[in-house]
Amino acid sequence: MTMFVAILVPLLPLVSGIILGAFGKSLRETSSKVGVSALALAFFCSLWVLYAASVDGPIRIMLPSFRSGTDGWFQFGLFIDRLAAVMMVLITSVSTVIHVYSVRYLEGDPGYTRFYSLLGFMTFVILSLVSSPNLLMLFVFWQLLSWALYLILAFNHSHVPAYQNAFKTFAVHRIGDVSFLCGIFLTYKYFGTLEFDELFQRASEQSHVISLLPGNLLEVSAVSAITFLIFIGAMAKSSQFPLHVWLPDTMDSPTPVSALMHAGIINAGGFLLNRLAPLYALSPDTLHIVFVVGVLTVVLGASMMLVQNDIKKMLGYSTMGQMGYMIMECGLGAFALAIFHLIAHGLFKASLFLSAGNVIHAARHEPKFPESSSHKPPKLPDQATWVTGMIVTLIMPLIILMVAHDLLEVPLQDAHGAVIFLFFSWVTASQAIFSLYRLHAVASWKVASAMIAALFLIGFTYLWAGEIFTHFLYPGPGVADGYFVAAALNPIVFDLLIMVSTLFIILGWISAHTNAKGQKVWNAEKWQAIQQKLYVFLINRLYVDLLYMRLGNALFQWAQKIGNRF
Amino acid sequence: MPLETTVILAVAIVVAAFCAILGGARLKQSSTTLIEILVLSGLGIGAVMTPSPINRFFLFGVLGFAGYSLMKSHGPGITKTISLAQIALAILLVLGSSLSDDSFTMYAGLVLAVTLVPLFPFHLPFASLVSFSHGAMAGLWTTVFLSLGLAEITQLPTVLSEGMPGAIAWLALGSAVYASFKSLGQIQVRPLLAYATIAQVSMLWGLTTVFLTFSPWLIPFGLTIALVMAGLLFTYYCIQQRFGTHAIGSLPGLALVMPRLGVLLIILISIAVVLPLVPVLSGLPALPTVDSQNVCLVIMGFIIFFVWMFGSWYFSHLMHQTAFGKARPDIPYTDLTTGEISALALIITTASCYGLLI
Repeated sequence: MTMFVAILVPLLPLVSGIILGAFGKSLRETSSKVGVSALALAFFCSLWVLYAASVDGPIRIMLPSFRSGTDGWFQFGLFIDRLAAVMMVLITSVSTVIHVYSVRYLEGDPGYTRFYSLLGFMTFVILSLVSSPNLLMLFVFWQLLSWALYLILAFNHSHVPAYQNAFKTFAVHRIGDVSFLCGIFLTYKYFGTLEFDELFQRASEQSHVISLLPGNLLEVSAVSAITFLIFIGAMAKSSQFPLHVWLPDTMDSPTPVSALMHAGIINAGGFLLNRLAPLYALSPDTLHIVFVVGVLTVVLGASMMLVQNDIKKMLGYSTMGQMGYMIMECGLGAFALAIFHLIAHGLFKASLFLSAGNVIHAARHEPKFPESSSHKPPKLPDQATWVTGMIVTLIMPLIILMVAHDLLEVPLQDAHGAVIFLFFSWVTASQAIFSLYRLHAVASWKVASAMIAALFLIGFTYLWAGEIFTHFLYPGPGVADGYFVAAALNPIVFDLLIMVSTLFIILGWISAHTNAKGQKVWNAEKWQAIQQKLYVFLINRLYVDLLYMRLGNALFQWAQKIGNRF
Repeated sequence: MPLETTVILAVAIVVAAFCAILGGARLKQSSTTLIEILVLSGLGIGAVMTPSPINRFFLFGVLGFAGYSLMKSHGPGITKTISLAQIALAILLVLGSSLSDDSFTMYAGLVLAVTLVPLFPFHLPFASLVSFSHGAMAGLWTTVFLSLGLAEITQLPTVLSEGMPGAIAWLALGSAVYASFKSLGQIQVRPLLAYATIAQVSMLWGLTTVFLTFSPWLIPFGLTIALVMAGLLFTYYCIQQRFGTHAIGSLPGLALVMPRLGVLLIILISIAVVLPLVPVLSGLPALPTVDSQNVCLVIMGFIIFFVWMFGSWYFSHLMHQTAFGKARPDIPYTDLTTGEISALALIITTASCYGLLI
């Protein structure tokens, strides 16, 4: 019974997509009912599967091999462990909500049934991706995801920017896909298998070296090369710098598509790293690269978000920053935390996008101009503001660390996992200071108390939930801790990171305090000039888009010259 | 050649010919075109199904007919001249191989193979025929050329193992790069598809140099390329017949005003985009047996990169400029007829069946 239910989870959206694609025109408005029913049923099935996978262990269903004599290497099927089951629940729940939302949102659109068909197909592809039993099937659905995303982003294909941006998305994903394919080649070449369990075992037992230059010069371990190439694939899907350029321009697609993308599709990179966590644990070098890329993406994504004046673009860059966090967590060995983050982010970002759609729609029909609060003079920061900031930025992180270390017995010192909590705390607190500085001062002690209590509650809930979730995903003794140890930073680098983070927090404090007092610590004009240049740099998206566009145009013109002359 | 292989090759030619006839019924194509379709398909089927040396005469007939078609066509002078010269060389090799010893036959077969399954710089006859022949014939020429070329390749394992793989691998890489750039820079549909075919088959050649024992899945792969490209050529022939010469970008938004055409076009382009992956993944089981220092393996990696990356680019570009965008309001659009849909559906079905064989 459980196996039958497990098969239904990806099958229902697929059948829905096929029925709507073939008979959508005759079904008309009832096509939404078909889609919603199928997804709702798939959601309930995924809950059953989650329970079964948690209690009875992983579910494995293999389809017969296409070709005789090749059993075990080119087989499609389902492998649903706790990780896959959790992802399936997330995907089906978000997809169900989006199906329901789209009933009214796209009412009257000529492509109504086509949209539902594509949505069903896309949900099937993502579900199959997360439940793949081997790297080959995962890659096949990874490819299909790139193409399906392109088709759904080009939904409004009569609108030129929509399909141009869809093509940009496809092109960037293609770069990642090529790299992923190279990783698969090397995997099979050196380890002779693409099945996850066998691969992890062989990789831990065998050590292969690849010479990048003739004469055995510049040798790297095969695992490092493979994990790095596969990570580039994850970078493209999860919008990591410098393969992030596609994400902000996907806002021309319908809001439900943006919601599905930011809540579901963009998590594919993080899921991939989690699925291959045992392989990544064998390559600390790659994990460090993953960490650096994640940090860069967080900083750049958050910075670009701050200069946006369009609500959906702001959410897009916010997603980029959050994906950077997720990848950074993977780079620090906190794979389970990354999944926890991914789920939380997926749910709240989907709701934000759907709400944004409503807000934009309402604003278009609202004749009155909204009142601006900038007419009122800003309240100066008082003692309540500074005390709140002090508690939030300095005292709260220390308390959380002590609780984590003493009560929850998280091995912070041995495994440098402190970096995760500290970094989160420091950067989040920095954003809190910035908000206090940029927006308004805390209104009263009552408000300050509510803020501090809420932050403590969130912090401890996050800590507790993260621990529970880690043990749920990786119940084996020492498995999760082993990932932390594998990703441990060099002690000097670790200390430097802490010092730099602390320095930035202190500088932020000094700047906020001195500006509040009307004092100028350093050359204000020079600082303003830097700020302006930084603003221009960020609003132009670091000129990365422009660089890619010029490269693409140059290649195109060169191709036309070859076409004409030869 | 095993019976199974000859049947597969023959079926592909029959399907392409059927598509050309069935789909052209609405367009009331002339009796001359109909005769040309029947002659070419008959010669092609004869060349794959008859035993040696009779098949050489059929092959001679196909090449002669190709030369005749080229002379009738309106391509640029220098290209036509070089193409005719290469056809003449191929004809001489066909005649010579039927009369001389085994070693000459093998090397003649190699030159014939690189002309029929076009590899730079032997690609001009193929490219000219597809670009400049009558619209209904373009798809059939693609299928016939590739089928006959694949039949020649099956005779080549001994040649390939005798020091030739490296040279062929480099030629395949050159062909992939050249054809990819050429496709990207095209402003007309048929040359784009002609060079896209050349880029795709360069992968096929690359794979023959890595897997020296000719793999049974190379023929289904080659035929899938042939049928998918024939399908695309036929689709654009339908557009050309309705609206005149079709430069890329002059007639956008067809998916909205011709939904049946839009759906079939998207299916064909989707297959074309995914196609380069299929033989690559099929070849994985044999990969551990290949020496990792083998230069052909490295070259093959670059070929995959160019063909797959650029293929995704120019096929998507083609789809944008044709199916997507705002349709022109000054044109009376008519969607595909039942005959045309049946023809394309048959091609897609056959290509998918061949794809499963890979």
